[in-house]
Amino acid sequence: MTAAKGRPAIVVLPLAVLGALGACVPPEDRYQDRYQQPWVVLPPVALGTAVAYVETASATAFVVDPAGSELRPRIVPVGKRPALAVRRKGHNELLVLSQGERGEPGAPPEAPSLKVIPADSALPVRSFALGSRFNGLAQSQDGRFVVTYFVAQTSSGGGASDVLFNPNEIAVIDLAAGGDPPAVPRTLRSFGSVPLEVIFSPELTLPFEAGRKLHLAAVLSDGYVTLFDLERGDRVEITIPLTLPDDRRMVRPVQVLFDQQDPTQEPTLFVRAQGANDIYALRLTFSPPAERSEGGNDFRPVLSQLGAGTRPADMALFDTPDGTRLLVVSDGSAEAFVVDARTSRATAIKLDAPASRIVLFDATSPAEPKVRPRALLVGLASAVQVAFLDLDRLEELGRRNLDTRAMGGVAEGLLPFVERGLVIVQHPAGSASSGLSVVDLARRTISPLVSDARSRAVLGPPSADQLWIVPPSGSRLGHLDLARLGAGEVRLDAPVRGVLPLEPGKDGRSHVVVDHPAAGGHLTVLDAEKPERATARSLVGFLFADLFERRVP
Amino acid sequence: MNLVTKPRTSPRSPRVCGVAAVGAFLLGLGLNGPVALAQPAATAVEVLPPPALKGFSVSLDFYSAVRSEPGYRLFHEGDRKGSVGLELTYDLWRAARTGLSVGGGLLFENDRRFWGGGNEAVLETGALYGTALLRWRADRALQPYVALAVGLASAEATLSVSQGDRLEGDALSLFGRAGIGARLVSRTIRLTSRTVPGFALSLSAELGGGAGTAMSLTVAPVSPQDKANKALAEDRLPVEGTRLGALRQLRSYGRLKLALLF
Repeated sequence: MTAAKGRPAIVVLPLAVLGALGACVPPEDRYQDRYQQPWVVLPPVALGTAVAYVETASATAFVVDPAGSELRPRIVPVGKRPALAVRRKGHNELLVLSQGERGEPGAPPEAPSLKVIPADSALPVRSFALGSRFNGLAQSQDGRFVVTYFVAQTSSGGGASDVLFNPNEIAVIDLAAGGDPPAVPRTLRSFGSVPLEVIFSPELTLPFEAGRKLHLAAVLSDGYVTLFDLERGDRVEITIPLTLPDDRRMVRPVQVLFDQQDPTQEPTLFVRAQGANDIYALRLTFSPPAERSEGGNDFRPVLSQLGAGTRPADMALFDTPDGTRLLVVSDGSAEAFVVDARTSRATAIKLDAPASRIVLFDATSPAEPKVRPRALLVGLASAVQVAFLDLDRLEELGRRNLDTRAMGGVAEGLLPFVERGLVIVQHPAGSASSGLSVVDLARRTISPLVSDARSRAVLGPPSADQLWIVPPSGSRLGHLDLARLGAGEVRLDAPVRGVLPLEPGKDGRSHVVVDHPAAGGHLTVLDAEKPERATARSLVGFLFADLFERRVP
Repeated sequence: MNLVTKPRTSPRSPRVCGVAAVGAFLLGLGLNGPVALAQPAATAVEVLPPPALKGFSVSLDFYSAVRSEPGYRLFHEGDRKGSVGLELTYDLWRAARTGLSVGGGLLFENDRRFWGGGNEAVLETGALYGTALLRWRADRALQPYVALAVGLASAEATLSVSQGDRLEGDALSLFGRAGIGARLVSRTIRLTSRTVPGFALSLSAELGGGAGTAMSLTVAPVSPQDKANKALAEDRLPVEGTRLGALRQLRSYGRLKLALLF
């Protein structure tokens, strides 16, 4: 055998082979891609006629409008690490609170944000940058103000991954302000606790300041309440301790009511707290400029305590010709108290059983065809009866205004549907009446419905006629026609996880979306008026829609 | 030159096989220098100067592609992916120093990945293509070449999720690719028994790039019970498929090709 004459082969071939082999080198794991993150989907949210889901790994919102001819989701990117998705009150918009990205090698940081996504695709998506990685969100009844804050001890963690964060830091966002102004940060004065809940006032009027309108937020913390003006970020907050400094009781505020029926009178806040037998009344009085500190408010609260039985469990305000009255029930005593806030005079009304929930309504009664203000009193987990209380001349007539009716079992929860004159009472497992009871507020009847006690009842919008029953397992959705109390069920293709009744569309038709457990998303759309299999449609895997084209970290 | 050969039978990964084959070829077949040979045996062969062959070539191909489409990361971690193929060509025209071959081939690509905490994504792709290679002789054994190919690829995606039905879908793509490479050819080998026609072995290394129409994948749920029971499948509520998106077909590749020439 002879040696090779073509020496170029010695050079060319190894180069070509090495080049081809170079492509075979195992790839370096250069990044943490989004597919390595857990696939987590936040609970779905009903947005008027649409329903929205948020998937966290790719930070994407999916808006599905069942009224459309085809069930194709609209895909909207949201801020990274979304922690919370809720409907904006009074609006068909989705609020998505995202914690942003701290930044890693190769992954730039991203500021936390609040995104406002309208259900109507023609409207723009708005985004508000936040200064901290909040994980809690509260909004006013009209959806104008949003306060973001840190919720203690939740899986989403809040700013817990940060080197340092202050759990008493909050941010206020005015969604009605033009030009999408930045969130206003505020750090609350703390006495060792953190915000538990934020409650918003309706629009109040300060009679002493030429009728200035006031939007107030009340932040509830263990042992104290903090008030601040939502529109005046430069004004300091007001902290009201609920106990004296040497009082070691744990008093936790849990309910706040705002009273200002007469705009010429000073507004009053009523605070109910666990661990306290009194109701705290905070009357907002004028604060003269000479007495204000720098950044001080033009009002100041004056605290008084109202006695209202033992362990107040619920309270409600109602009007009388003599002014507003506070109705308080206590699960520690079989009494209801009617409190005149101006005089602090309390009138006790003996009940047949302790009550812990109040549902106010206007209706006729079996004995009186005139519509008047009345209250339904229910003792959760204690009584097997409900009480109807006529609020007209209550302080004068007392117990004569009371009408007690027996119920099949103890109540575990209430679903008030006052617009329809109904209250749904949920009974716990093992009670005599397993399932639900429907209370007709006008006729004062209590109709038991038998179902699995672990079922959940879901009400639709006020215009809806159906009560939906989500079974603990199985693929049959129960429904109850509220007009005639006729029960039915519809068989679906997968287990039912939740149900989201929607508002009527432009064509007047209402739909209900049934959520099924599936990693890629699975929903079934039913005609809300006539829920049946023949007209049902399903959408499966829609959370994977356009998966390839979503952004990559 | 006489040589005793023993076929390899144990299965190996394409990458390992490719590297091993290159090593064997470089050591034993392709180089033109003197080689210490084994003594003739019952299965002895004699090696003659090439080509003296009919012009056919069948090859086993090992590809390593770099896919620029990020959507592939659902099915495979990283951008690089190995695959195997088969190719058959025929020397349509041969001159003193150049030649043109045409043929066709098959390419198989399998991607599988667990993602999102309990989900599995599988993408199985098969491609059928026609190819043309323009070759010339730089050396007695070395033949640089330019290769072109066009074909049709079919992909089937399966998403098995932690909860809910499995989703399946498929897509097609027309593609083309071009590459340059070099082929090293052994001498013609004839078995002494003369019952087997003469043949040669070759090793090619090729680098190139390819592009194609995007694979638009839409998936729909598939229930195993439905496949077994038609009545059950027909009873299902109408379901609309979900479009995963389009996998753009843009890639560069390296290819090692072990061929039998006859």
